[in-house]
Amino acid sequence: MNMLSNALDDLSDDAVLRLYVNGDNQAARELTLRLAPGVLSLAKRLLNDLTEAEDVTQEAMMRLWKMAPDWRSGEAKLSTWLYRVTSNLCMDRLRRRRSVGLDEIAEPKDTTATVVQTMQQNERAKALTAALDQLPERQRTAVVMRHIEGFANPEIAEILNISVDAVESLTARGKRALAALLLGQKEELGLE
Amino acid sequence: MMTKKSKNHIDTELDGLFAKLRSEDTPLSEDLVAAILADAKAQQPLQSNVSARQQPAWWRGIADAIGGWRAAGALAACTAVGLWIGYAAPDSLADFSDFVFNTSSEEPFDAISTFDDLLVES
Repeated sequence: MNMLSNALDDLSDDAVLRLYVNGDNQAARELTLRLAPGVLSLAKRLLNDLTEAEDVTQEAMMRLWKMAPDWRSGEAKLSTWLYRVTSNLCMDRLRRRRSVGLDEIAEPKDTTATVVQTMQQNERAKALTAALDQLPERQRTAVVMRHIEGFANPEIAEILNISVDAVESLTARGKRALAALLLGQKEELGLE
Repeated sequence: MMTKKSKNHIDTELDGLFAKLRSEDTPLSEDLVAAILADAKAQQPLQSNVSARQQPAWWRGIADAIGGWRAAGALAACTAVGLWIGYAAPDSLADFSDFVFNTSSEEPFDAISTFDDLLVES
């Protein structure tokens, strides 16, 4: 891998996808190594669960392989399409989680107890992750994409199929909600 | 109620925490890559044992054998001109060949006997 992979390096995602459709046996690996890490990272941050994030990644990539023969080059970015699939899959799972009765879910983590012990930055990061869990799905998705994954607002708008103004509103409200949640634990977190 | 000072502080804190989360990598496991590639193979419309990008087209092999696509293009152009001259030669070209080979249009030029004459003369 080597020379064949290197030979694919200079091709666009669309071109590699066409090679996949035409039977190239290296194209799928190339696309997987290009696109799956971003999908996994986004899913992991949205779901806060590695096993579920890996399931979503496999499912999103499966949809890519199935859609490949019908893909129309130039109409959209392949990665944007894939992130849209990923965020939809994650939001479905988040909604299902919330619709599960309280008796059926695992014992929730006692974030307060954890937070009480934390003065370290990594513990604050855990508190942030726990706070992200409490945001509504779309706010959380927008905040993760904007502030953690580093997407630009127009790209988030395209992925979520909403306006840029709506993205800005979601991220602003999400950030305010996170701030309020963390300030609620300011003594435990050592915040002023 | 959040004071302006505490809001600024928490914003700074949030930005730092976002950066920390951003720096945490989630690497693809080999098992996940293998599962994704198995799905890809099962869904692939056409399958071959080699990279399609590596399969040389038949015309590329011929072009390479005669010196690349420029040489192949020149050869194709010369062939076309030769065919055209052979089937639709203008009169002026016939006159020119008569002059060079000392023949007439009615008497086909016999290159072999001319060569024989040269041998006998030498």
